[in-house]
Amino acid sequence: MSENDLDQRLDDILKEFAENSSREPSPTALRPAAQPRPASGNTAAPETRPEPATPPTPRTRREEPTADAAAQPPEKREEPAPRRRARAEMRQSEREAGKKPVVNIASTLKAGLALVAAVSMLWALVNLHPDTTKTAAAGSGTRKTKFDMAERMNVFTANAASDALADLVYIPKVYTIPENDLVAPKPNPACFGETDDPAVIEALIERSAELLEGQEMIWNRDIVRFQGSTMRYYCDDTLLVVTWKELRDNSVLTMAEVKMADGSQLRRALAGNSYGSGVRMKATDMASAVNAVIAINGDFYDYRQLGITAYQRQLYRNNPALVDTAFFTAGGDMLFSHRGELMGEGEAQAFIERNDVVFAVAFGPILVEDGQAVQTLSYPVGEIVNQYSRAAIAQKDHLHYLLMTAGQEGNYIRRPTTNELAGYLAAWGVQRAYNLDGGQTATIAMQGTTVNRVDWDNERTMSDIIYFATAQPGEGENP
Amino acid sequence: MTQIALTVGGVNIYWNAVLICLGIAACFCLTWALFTANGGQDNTLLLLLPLGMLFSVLIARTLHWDCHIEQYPSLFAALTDYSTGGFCMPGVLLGTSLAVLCVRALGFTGNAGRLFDCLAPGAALGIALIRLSNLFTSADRAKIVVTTPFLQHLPIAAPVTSGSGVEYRFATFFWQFLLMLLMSALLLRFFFKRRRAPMKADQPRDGNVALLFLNWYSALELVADSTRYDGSFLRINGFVSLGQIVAAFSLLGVLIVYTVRSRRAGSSRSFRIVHWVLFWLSIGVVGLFEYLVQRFGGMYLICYAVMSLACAAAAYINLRMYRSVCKAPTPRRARR
Repeated sequence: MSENDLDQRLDDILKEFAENSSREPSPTALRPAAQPRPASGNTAAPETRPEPATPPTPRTRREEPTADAAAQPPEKREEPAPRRRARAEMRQSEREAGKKPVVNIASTLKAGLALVAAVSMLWALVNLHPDTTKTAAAGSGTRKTKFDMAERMNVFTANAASDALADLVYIPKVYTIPENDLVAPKPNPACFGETDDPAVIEALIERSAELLEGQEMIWNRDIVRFQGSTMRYYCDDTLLVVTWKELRDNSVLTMAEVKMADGSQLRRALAGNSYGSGVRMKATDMASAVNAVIAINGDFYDYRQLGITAYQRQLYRNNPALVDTAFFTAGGDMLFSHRGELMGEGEAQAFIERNDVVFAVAFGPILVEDGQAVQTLSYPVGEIVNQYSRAAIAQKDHLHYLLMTAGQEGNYIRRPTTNELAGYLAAWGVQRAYNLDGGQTATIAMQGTTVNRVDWDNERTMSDIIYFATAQPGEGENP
Repeated sequence: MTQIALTVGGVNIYWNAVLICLGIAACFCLTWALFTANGGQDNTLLLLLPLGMLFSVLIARTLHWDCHIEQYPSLFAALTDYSTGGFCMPGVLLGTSLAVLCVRALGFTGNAGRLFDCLAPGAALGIALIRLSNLFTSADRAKIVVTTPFLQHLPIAAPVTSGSGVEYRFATFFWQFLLMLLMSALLLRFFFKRRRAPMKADQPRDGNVALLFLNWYSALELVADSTRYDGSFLRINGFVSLGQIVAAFSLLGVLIVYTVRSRRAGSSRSFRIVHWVLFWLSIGVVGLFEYLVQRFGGMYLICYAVMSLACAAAAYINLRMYRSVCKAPTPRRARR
C-alpha cells in the first residue's frame, strides 16, 4: 500500500469516526441539567443557590473525546493513536506481512493433498499392472540351455546321413525336443492302442527292440492283471509306453512303463505355463495341451513350500530341510537329494548346474535308491502310513521309467503305505523311485483320459505334471 | 489383445493399469460428489485417496505374497518391486477401511459412517472397472473351458493364450464387472432413498449403505472366487480360497451387526433365531456344493447355480435383519 493510500485510508477512518461522534452526546452533556426553581410569591422558600455547573472532568489521554471513543462502547475499544502513530503502526504491519497476501493454511493444505493424490495416481498408472509379466518360460533369453548349435548340427548331420545312406546302411535317426519348447511334437494317433491280448504287447516290445537297447521290461505276459482291465499302449520309433493294472495285496496298482529314445522326452508342464502362475488345471487338460503321450501328476508345488523346486534349469525354491527332492537331468536320469542336504547357500544351484538338471520336484520320500527299498518312519507330507492313494515315479534303467499309482477300484479299497510301495518297486528291479503327491491328485493321464481310477472318480486341478512325449516329428513338422 | 497401451521413454503403460486407475478415479469422483453434497470437506477425500492406495497396495500385496510365495523372492521384494505378481482384493477393502479410520482419527471427518456410506457406491464402481482390467491378462478366468465355438466370445468366455495355443474359458471377470456395475447403481439408489430412513430406537443411520455393499459384494465373491482357476489360497488350506473365507466372514459380520441393532430395536427373539438358522443353512449349502464341485467338476452347472441361490439367500437374510431395524415407512396417503 502506498503512502498516499495510507493517508487516504486514515483520513477516511477519522472522518467516519468524527461523524459518528457528532451524533452521540458528549459525556459532559449526559449529566442532567439542574432543575429550575419553581416561581412563587408567598412561599418564602429558602433561597437555594443554583448548583454549580459540574466542572468538566479533567481530560486524560485515554479519555480524549475523539471520534473513536465516542462511537465505540468504552469497554470494547481503545482510543486510537494519533494520526502519525496510526500511520506508523499500519506501516509496521505491512512490513511484517512482507507486502504479500496473508497465507491461507486451508488452501495450502488442499493444494498439497491434491498434489499427493495426483502423484499417487501417476505411480499407480506406472506400477499397478498385475498379472502382465507372467511370461512363458520358453524363449527367455536368460534361460540356460544345453541344446546349443553344435548339438543341433550333430543331430541334423546324423539324420541327413541316415536318409542319404538308407539304401546302403542303416543309421538310426536322432530326434530330440528343444528344451525350452512348452509343447512337444504331436503324437501319431495311429500309434495308440488298447488291448487285453498279451501277444499284442509282446509284438510291440519285439518291434521296439532297438529302442529298448536290450533292457528288460517290467511288463510280462504272466502278470495277473486286475479283473476286466485292459492294456493301453503307444509305440513309435522314439517312445514305447505300456499301461496295465494289477492286484497286489488287495491293492489295485496302475502301472505305466515307458522307454524313450532321448532324455529330452522326459518333461515337466506347469499350469499357466509359468512358475508360480497360481493357475491350476486337471492333469488330463495339461497333458493334452502339451501333446504328452503319458503323464503323471507332479509335486503340486504351489500347495506347499517345502523342498527344492526348479524349472527349466532355474532354481525357484530352496527349502531342503524337511523333504527329499528328485532332480531330472537333461540326459533323462533321476537324481536325489535327501532332506537336510544342500542346505548351504548356493549348494542347490551348484548341484543343478553340475548335474545338468532341467527340473526338480519336491514331495517324497525317496522309495528306492540304488536298487534298495528305503524305509521311512516319519515324513511331513503324504500321509505315508495311512490309507491314502499313492503316485510314484521310478527309473529302472537308462531312459527307462515306470509310473505307478495305487488307489481304490471296484471292491478293493486297500491302499499301500509308502514303505510297502517301496518294497513293490524294489522287487520289480527299479534303481530309483520317488513318491509324488497322492490322494485325489494321484493321476496317470493318456489320450485325454485317466488311466487309473482317481479318488471320487473326479480329477482334481493341480499345478504341474511330469510327462513323456514323442520326439518324432509329426507330418509337416520339422525334425 | 496387446497388453501395453503405450511406451513412454522406456516405461510401459499397460492397459490394465489404465483401467485400474480409471476405476480408482471413478470411485474417487463418485465419492467426492456424494460426500461434498452431504457436507463433507474436499480435504478429507484428498487425504483418503493416497492413504487408501498406500494401505491397499501394501496389504493386498502382502496377502498375495503369502498365497503365491513362489512368485516373489521375498516379502520385501514383493512390497518394493511391482514388475511381477498381483494383488488380493480383500486387501484393498481392508486398506481402504483402514484409511477411512485414519482420516477420522486425524480429525478430517467427524463421521466415519457417513464417509463409508459415500464410499460404497464408488467402491462398487471402482471394483467393476478393476475387474474389467483382466480383459488384458489371463487372470480371473474360470476353471470351465468353453469349447462350443459360438459361446467363445464375451460375455460367455474369454481367450487365454498359452504355449499350446488359445483356449476359451468362462469369463468370470466380465460377469463380475457387470454385476458390480449393477450393484453400484443399486447402492446409489439406496443412498438417496433409504439412507435417511428413520431407524428404530435411535439406531445409527450412517453406515448402512456400506454394510449393504459389504453384504452384496461378499455374496457375489463367495461364488465368483470359487469359479476361478487362479484363486489365492492360504497355505494352511488349499480347498477354500482366501476370497471365499473373507466373504463368508463378512456376511457373518454384517449379520452380527444387524442382529445387535435389531435386538436393541426390540425385535422378537424368535425372529432373530429363525433368521440365524436360515443363514447357517444357506452357508452350509454353499459349503456342501463347493465340496461337490471340487470333487465332481462335471457338475459345475448345478453346483454353481445352487451356490448362487444360497449366497443370495444369505444376503437377503441380512437385508431382512436390516429392515427390522428401520421404522415402517409412512403410508403415502398419510403423507399427503
